[in-house]
This record gives sequence, C-alpha cells and structure tokens, in this order.
Amino acid sequence: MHKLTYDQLKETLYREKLENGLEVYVLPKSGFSKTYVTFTTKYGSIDNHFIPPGKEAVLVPDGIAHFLEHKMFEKEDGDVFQKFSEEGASANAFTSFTRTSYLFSATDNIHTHTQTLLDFVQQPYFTEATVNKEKGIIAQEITMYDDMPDWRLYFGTIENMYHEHPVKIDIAGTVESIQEITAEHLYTCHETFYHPSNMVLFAVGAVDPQVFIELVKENQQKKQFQDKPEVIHVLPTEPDTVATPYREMAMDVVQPKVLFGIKAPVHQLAGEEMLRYELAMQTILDSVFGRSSTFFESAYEQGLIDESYSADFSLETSYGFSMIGSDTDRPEELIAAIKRQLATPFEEYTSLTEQLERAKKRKIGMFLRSLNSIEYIANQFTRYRFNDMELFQVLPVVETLTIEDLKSVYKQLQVETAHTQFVIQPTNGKK
Amino acid sequence: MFTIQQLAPGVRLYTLPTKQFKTITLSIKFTTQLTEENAGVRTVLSNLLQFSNQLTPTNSAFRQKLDELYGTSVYLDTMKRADRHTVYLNADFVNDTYLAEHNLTEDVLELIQAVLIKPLLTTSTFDVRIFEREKKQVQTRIESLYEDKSRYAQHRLMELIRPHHPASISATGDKELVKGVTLQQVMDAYHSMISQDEISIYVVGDIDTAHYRDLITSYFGFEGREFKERDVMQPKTSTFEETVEYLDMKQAKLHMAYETPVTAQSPEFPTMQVLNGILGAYPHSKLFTNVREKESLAYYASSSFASSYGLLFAVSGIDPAQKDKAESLIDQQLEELKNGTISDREFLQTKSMLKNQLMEIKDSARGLIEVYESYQEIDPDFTLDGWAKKWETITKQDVQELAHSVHKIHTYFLTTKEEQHA
Repeated sequence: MHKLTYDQLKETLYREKLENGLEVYVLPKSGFSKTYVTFTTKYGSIDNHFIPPGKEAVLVPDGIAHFLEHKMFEKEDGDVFQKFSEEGASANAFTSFTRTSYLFSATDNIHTHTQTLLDFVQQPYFTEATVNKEKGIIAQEITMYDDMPDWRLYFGTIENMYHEHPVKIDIAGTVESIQEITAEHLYTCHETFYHPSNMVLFAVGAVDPQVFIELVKENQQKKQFQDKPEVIHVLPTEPDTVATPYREMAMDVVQPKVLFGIKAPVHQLAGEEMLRYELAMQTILDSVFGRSSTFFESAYEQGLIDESYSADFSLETSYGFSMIGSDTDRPEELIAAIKRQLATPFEEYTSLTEQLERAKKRKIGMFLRSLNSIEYIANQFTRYRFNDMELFQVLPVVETLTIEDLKSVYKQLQVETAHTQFVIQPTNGKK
Repeated sequence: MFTIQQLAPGVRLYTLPTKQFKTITLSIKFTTQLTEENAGVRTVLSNLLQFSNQLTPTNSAFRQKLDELYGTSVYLDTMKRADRHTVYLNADFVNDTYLAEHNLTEDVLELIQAVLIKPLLTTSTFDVRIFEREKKQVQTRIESLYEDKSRYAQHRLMELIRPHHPASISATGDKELVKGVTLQQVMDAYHSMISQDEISIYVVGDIDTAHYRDLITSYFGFEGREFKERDVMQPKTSTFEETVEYLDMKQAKLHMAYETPVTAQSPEFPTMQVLNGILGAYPHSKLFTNVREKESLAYYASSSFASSYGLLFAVSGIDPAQKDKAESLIDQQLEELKNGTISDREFLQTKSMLKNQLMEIKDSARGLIEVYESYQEIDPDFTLDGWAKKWETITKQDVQELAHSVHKIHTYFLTTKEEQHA
C-alpha cells in the first residue's frame, strides 16, 4: 500500500496495484458519514471498433457500452439494485464517451456493498430474453433525450465537428441500432474491456484504507482472470477541420438556441502535458468568454445572451472541443459576436496578466470547494487517472501557467476551419 | 444540530461549527407570504440584487471580485415552502486556513453586505434598462420551463388540481404577471424584504459561533420585526378528473396526482414517507420494478410526496400508445399497498434507504441547511438520528391503513401531436 500525502490540501491518498492489474485507491475523509465507491472501466461509447485478444476486428452496434451498463444490473437471481437497497445503499452507473462507471454510496455496511459491487460488475449474465427486454426501456431513455433541446444542441454540435471519430455517435445509440444488440455482443465487450487491468476502484469517505484494500485483495484472489489482454482500438483518422460548418434544426422551443463549437486539434496528449493543456484552455476560455469577461458583459447588456449562457472545454486523449452558447432571439448576431471576439489578436488582450492571476485564485478556490464533494472527487479522479493525470496535481500546475501557455492555446481557438455552429429554431407549433 | 440565536425579533442565526468541510457555507433567507404577485416581483428583485450594487456596480466587476475572492460563489434566487416565499442568498467560500491570505471571510461579508444592503436599485443613478433587462431574464426563465417536458407536465398538473393555490404558484412567478411588474413594486418589495421579512441566517463550517454572531450583526444589523405566527395549511379534497394535452414531442408523460389528508405536520407523515418509498421513490420500489423492469414500459417511473400540500404523485415517460397499460399498472401498485401486498424485503429495503438517504445529508453543508429548515418547523427538536428512529416502529399494517386514505384525483397525460390526429 503506497501512501501519498498532500499537505496543503490536508488529504492523504492510498494506492495499491493488485496482481491481476486492478488499481485500488482510497481517500479517507475525516468527519464524513458516507462512503462512495466507484468501479470504473476505461471503456465508453467511442470504443466501438476493436480487436479482442487473439481474434478478428469487430465493429459493434452503436450504444452498446451503455446497453451493457444497463444489463450488468440484472442477474439470474434478480436485480442488483435490490441487493444494494436491502442494506440501504444507493447504487447507480453511468456511461460516457470514454468510461463506464458503477458506484454506490452508503453510510453503513460498506464492506458488503463493496463485495456486491465487485461481484456484479465482474460476473456477467446475459440471455437473449433479458437483452430483448431491455430494448424497450432503453428505447424510452433515448426518446426522452430526443425531446431535450439542450441535448440535441450538444450532440448536433459534436456531429458537426467530427468526420469519422465515434464521439459523434450518441452514447445510448439509436432506437434502431440497439435492436441489433445480442447477448453475444455483450459478452465480447465485457470480456474485452472489463478485465481488472482496464479498471480502477476508488473509495472515498468514511473508509479505512488498510481494511478496504485487504478486502478487495481477498475478493479478487478468489476469481480467475486470464492474463492481461492486449486490446487494439481501431480509431479512424480524424482531420483537424470540422465536418460541417453550420447546421440547424427545428424543435418545439420558446426561442432559438445557439452552440458555437471549436474543435481542438488531436494531440494524443497524456499526463502532465495534457493537464497543462487542459488548464490553459480552460483559463483562456474563461478569460475571453467567462462570466467576468468583457464579452459576457457586452453580450448580456445587448440582450444577445441570457442566463442559459455557457462556455466550456472538454478533453480526452483522442478528441477535444470548446463550446460557447446560449438561448437567444438573435442567433446570427450572437454567432457574429463570437467570431469577432475570436478574431481579436492575442496582443490586444492587455489585462491578461491580471486576469491570469485572478483565474489562478479562482481555480484554487473552486478546486478546494470541489473537494467537499466526494462524488466529484471519485468521478474526476478516475477520469484523470485514465489519462495518466493526477487530480491532486491540478493546483501545482495551475500555479505555473504563463501568458505563453495561454497564447498558444488561444491560437488554436482562432482557427476558422475548426469553427462550427448548430442552431435550434422554434417550430411554428410553438405555444 | 444547529445552535439557534435570536439577533433581533424575527431575525435568527443558525450556526453549525464543523471541521468536515474546506469551505464556509452561508445562507441568508428572507421569507414572507407566498402570493402570485410576491413570487414574480421578488424574483425580479433577486435578479437585480445579483447584478448591481454600489461596491461592484457592473456584472463583470462583481464576477471579477468573486474570482479574486478565490472563486467564492454568491448566488441569489427564490424558493417556496408550503405557503411561504423566500428570497435567498447562498454563498460558499474557502476557509482561510487553506490560503496564504487570512481576510477572506470579511471580504466576502463586505461583498454580501453590498449586494443586500447597498444595491444600486435604491440610488438615483440606477439605470432603468437594467430593470427591464432582468425582468426579461425572469420571463425567459419562466418560459423555458416549457422545454423540459416532464417539469412542464408536472406544472400543468398542479395548475389543474390546485389553481391559484400555493401548491401551483411557482416560486419564480407567472410570466404575464412578471411582464407587468413595475420598478416601484420591486423597490417596495426590497424595503419590505429588508425591514419586515422573517430572516434566517445559516452558517456551516469551521467557525466560531460567537465570532460569527458579531460579524453578522456588524455587517448587516437587521432590526427587529414583527414575527407572524404561521398557519398550518389544511389539505383540500377534490373529485377525479382526467386531462389529455398534445405537444410536438416524441415521448408521452403520464403524471398522476393523489390526495391524502396527511401533511408534514401530521403524525402519520413518517408512515407516508415509508409508503412513498415502497410505491416509487427507489429502484427497488413497486413502480420501478413493475413499470420499468417487468413490463419495459418506461425508463423512469417514480413517485414523490409533496408534504406541505398532502399530495402524492406518480410519474413516468412512456410510449404514447401504452397509456392505458401503464396507468392500470400504476393503479395496481397502489392497490397492492391497500391490500397489504408488501413483501418483507421491500418493506425493509425502503426503511434502510430512507435512513441512509437522511444520514448522507450529513456530508453536505447545503443539504444540512435545507433539511434542517424543512423539518425544524415540524419538529423543533429535529435531529437526523431522531427522525430516522421514527421509521423503525412503523409496521406494514400502518402503511396499509394509510394507503386507504390515498385517492387518485387527476390523471394528466401529455402526449404527442400525432396522437391528436390519430
């Protein structure tokens, strides 16, 4: 068991890598009543084309990682939710582009729940009947998202950006694509991506690291796993330019919605380099488009944007993008204003030194605040870990950001061929 | 839990010193009667306070100040509880001990003081365009409810079963009413909020109670006000109705309302919490197990109890063609409760889940404030552990008996335009 101490943050992290490759992390939080445990595989919706160890390449139906997540909860002897409920734990799971995470939170019986969590995720049980039954449920989930304008706007913008990359495929797939899913597909994906060496177990809260790690070891030693598989991901080549510069659709909304996407060039970054890039991009985006920026002030005063306004950056190894958007009565004007802002030469931002200092203070405070949330810690920690970054390195790296860092990422935001817009216009059927 | 101190008549400070969190969480709440007018006017007011004060006159100056204060958040909004309306200011800021600087608390209080006590609104230099702009923001916020179809369906159901009643009055107000709000109304509301509203101030974090009492008194100095005794809301009774409405959408929303004589004030309230848990609050509940898992009719199917109004709801999102099947399946789940068809397993699961959920509140400063505030008016000696004990002695028989007092009063079905023309 390795112990890592972060004095400034008053946190201690414990780490152990098991023989089967599983990485276990424990962050005890004194004073906390609950424990939150996540068991996450580095497998998400973008991993749809791969070569399983010793086999032929497979291209699986869209939405399968999410479908698999749903089906893990059903076993021969019933529903796993029931098991967690019996001892008062709330269980859940989610699938993103790059991860599938299973979790529970509880104030009692943490060891029983941890065994349940490890066992249900590592023991697949699929039949054609149970798989078919799930199709109706997931079809309703997809339909629900179809009626959410902000989700359509987000996905529409991603589809505009990407030519080939599977990030453009909706995480849940489509009502049609999930019909093709079979029990055999699910077994293939489980076998390929749910090997302990592809997973991280993270516990945070009212938990004893020594006892927890011993318990996990014992649980894992009872199970047989094949040697660490070498999975080959098949990723298409993706140009840096956007696939479609502009698109719109009609929905039953009260006013138009605009999302301005800026595709980041693919770096295949990892580790501290990736962390630095991400923090620099977030900082410049905040300085130029954040709520304390002159852009925000002026657009808000002109009534070009409203409370729904946001400006965010997302990054993973094989893709990344910034998104700026708002509900607005004047979509063309808002798009033009964002373009004008992006055309501003870097040298014209005269108060950047001051802004950078302010941004650092803000980031320090936000980070400390986020450490109150054990859910945030667990989810972010795992994301960082899968990208070889360290959550607790955020502050030291933020401290060293320079104007030069901001300059180099700002140049990327300015590239017009990386710009795209998606607009949702109200249909005439408006109330 | 909280230490309560009266700073002046009608002004109370609730403090909870703890080393658990790295931040200090503060809430200042101004409460008055909930009416449609109050809701609209005071929501516009909370927006105006958020965006312009004498210390940081522009929005960007305000935001920059927050950034400098290590990403402090200061956020105003409105909420309602039973028949009362509240304007609240929530703030979260880092505990000084984690920083090189040690004046953060006072700097944050100075900013909050400016927001609440020194708004531009009351000065001669106030720009009326800001008022018009924020009024429009509030209207847009109200309108945007329409884009969230399940929230919209629930809102429509409330309007249908409890028109012009606190249960259906939104804390944000009504769109048409907000359109007509005048600057004078907002100024009047501001003065009445500062001098006549009941004020509750909550602080959770690594603090010294006596020190905070002095700080709050010196920064805000709220004067005494008349304390109004609260009426207990009486539940209403109605007869069954059904409403179908159509919108341009794909998934239909089935929302059903039930009346009960039980409210938060009733001795049966803890039993109602167990009943709601067995029926539909959890993934092991009857609604999730039957409507979703057994019949694959929905992705979500759940129930909730509005304790102030004695109303229980069952909601789900379904294929438009499955309405009758889903409705009768949901009806059947309530019938099972009335027949006493409750397994040991689901009964115990529900109790453990209720308890765990309440205990998890201990890890959220904001959660502690909200839960304490809502329960304290039911039980002045409320503690989390004390409330959890109330569930232990409840029997299946209690739940079954209570189920007989639950009556369906409305089925609201929001479905697709295609169904209208079919």
